[in-house]
Amino acid sequence: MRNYIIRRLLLLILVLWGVTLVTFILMHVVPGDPAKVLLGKLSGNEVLVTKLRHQLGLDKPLIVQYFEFVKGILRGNLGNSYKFKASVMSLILERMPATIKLTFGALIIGLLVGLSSGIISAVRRYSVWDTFSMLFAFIGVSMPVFWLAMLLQLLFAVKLGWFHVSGFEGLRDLILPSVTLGLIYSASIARMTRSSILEVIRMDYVRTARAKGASERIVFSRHVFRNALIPIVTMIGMQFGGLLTGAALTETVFQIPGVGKLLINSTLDLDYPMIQGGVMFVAIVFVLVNLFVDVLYAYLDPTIRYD
Amino acid sequence: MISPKQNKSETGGAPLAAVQGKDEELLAAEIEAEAQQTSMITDIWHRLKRHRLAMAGLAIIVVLILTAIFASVIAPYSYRDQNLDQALLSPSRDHLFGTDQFGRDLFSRIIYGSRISIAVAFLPVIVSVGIGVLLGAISGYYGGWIDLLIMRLADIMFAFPSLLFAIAIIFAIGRGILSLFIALALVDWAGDARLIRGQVLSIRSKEYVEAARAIGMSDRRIILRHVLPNCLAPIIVTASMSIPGVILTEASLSFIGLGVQPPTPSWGAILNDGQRFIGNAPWMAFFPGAAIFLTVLAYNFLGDGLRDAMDPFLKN
Repeated sequence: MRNYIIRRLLLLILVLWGVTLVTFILMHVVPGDPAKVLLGKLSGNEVLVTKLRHQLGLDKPLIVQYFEFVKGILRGNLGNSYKFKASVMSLILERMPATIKLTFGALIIGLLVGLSSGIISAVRRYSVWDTFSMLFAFIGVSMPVFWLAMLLQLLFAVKLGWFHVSGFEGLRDLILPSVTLGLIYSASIARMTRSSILEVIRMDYVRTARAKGASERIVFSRHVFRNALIPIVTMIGMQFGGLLTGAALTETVFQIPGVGKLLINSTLDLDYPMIQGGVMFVAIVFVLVNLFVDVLYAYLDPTIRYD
Repeated sequence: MISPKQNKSETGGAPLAAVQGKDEELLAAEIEAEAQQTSMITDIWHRLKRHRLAMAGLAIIVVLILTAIFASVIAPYSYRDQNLDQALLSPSRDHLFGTDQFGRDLFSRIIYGSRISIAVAFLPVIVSVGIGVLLGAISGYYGGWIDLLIMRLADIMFAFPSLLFAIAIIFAIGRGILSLFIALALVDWAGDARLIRGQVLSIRSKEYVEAARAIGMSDRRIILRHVLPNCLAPIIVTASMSIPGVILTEASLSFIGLGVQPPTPSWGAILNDGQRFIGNAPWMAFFPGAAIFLTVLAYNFLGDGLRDAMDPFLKN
C-alpha cells in the first residue's frame, strides 16, 4: 500500500510536469500576438508593441519563458491576468468558495438521488420503479446541463419567482444551481449503482451470507452495498472532471462568480495568463482528486494488492 | 494471404507440400473468419432489433440525418435573413418555434443546425477513435518504451477535463468550425487508447498471432489483419458510446461562444442567444435545447442497445 502511494506520487509529478508542458505549448502556438491583442486599436504602433512585449517577457526565448512559467508554478505564482491586472492565483482563490459550495452541493444531491434511485432500481429489478428511475437516468445523462439550468431558471425563478433569476447574493442563490448540477450528476451514479449492485448480488459470498441466516438488511448493507461501492467510487472520481466543467457551465447560466465562469470569460477576453494559469490550476486539482479517489479505492477493497 | 515467393525463401529446404498444405489451411481459416464476420453482423442486428429503445434511437437518428440532408427543402425560411419587424415572435402557425432577436425563423435555424450536429457526431469521433485505436494497438502490441511513452501521454491527457482541454485548443488555434473539429477529435482519444491497449495485450499472446508471426508476417499486417479485427466489437461500442459526449461538448463550446460562429446555426449557439432572452422569449431557450437533448438521448439509446447486442463479442 505504501509503495503504491509512493509510486502514484512519482507518477503524479510526471503527469504534472506533462501538464505544464502541454499547457505551455498550447498557449505558445497561438497565432495571434498577445501584445497586439492587448493593445487593440493601438496594435499598429510598433514601438508600443515592442515595449509591451518586453514588459510581458514575450521577447525572451521560449525555453526561458517555459522555465519562468514552471518556476512560478512551483512558487504558487501563475502569472498576472491581463484583464484584471491582478495575480491569476488570487483571482482564482477569490472565486473558489462559490465553486466549492456549488460542487459540494451538487455532489450531495447527486449522491443522495443517484444512490437511492440506483439501489431501488437494483433491488426491485424490472418493477415500475426500476423503469422509472432508469428512464430518469437516461434523461439525465442526455441533458445538456446548461439547458436544464435554463429550464429550472425559467420555471422557478422567472415564472414562480422563488429565486433570483441570476446573480449571487447568498446561499439561497446556490439552491437552484446545485439542484441542476446534482440532478445531472445523479443520473450516471444511478446507472452505475444499479449495474454494480446487480453484479454483486449474484456473487457466492452473498449466497453464503444468506445461507448462514443473516438478515436481508445485514446482507445488503454489509455484503452487497460495500462491495458494490468500489466501482461507484471509481466512477465518482472519473466523473469529477465532468462535475467541474458542469459547474463552469452552470455558473455561466446563473451568473455565479466562480472559477468556471472566470475561465470561460477569460477565453472570450483573450486573457492568456488567466487561461494558462486556470487550465494548470484545474488540472492540478483534478489530478489530486483522482489520486485521493484511488487511495480511497485501495482502502475500500482490501483484496487489491498494489505491489 | 501470403505470397508463395516469401514462403519459399523463408522455408528454404523444407518439404514444399507441407508448406502449401499449411497455406491452404490458413486460407480456409481466413474465409471462415470472413463468414464469421458477416454472421456476427447479422447476429448483432437480430439482437439489436429486439431492443426497443435502441430502435427508437435509431429512428430518431435516421430522421435527423434526413433532416440534415434535406434542410434546404424542409426549412420554410432562410437561416440567416434578418427581419427586425418579426423579432422575438412567439411560436405560431407561421413560425412553429417562434423567431429570434433578429426576426429569424427558429424552426428553420434548428433544421439547419442539425447539419453541425450530424457532422460532429461522425467526423471528430472517427478521427478520435482512429487515434485511440492506432496508439492503443501500437502500445499494446510492441510494449516496452513506446508503450510507456504512449500510456504516460494518455495519463497527461486524463489530467485535463475534456471541455477544458477543448477550450484550451480552440483558444490556441483560433475559433472556427475547423478548430472546433480538431479540438473535439483531440480531446477523447486517451480512453480509447487504454481500452484498445488492454484488448491487444490479451490478443497478442493468442496462438493465431503467434502462428502469423511464425510464418513471417509483418507486424503491420498482423496488427491490421489479425489483432484489430478481433477488437472490432469494443471499438464499435466505444465509438458509439463517445458520440453523445462529443455532441454535448460541441453544444457546450458553442453555448459559451467558442464553437460554431454566427450566422451558421448551431443548437448550442442558439441556446446562448436564448439565455439572454429567457425572460421575454423562453422559446429561444426551449427548442434548441430540446433538439440537443433528443439527439443525445437517441445516441445513448442506440449505444446502450449496441453494447447489449455485442455483449457476447466483447468478452475475448
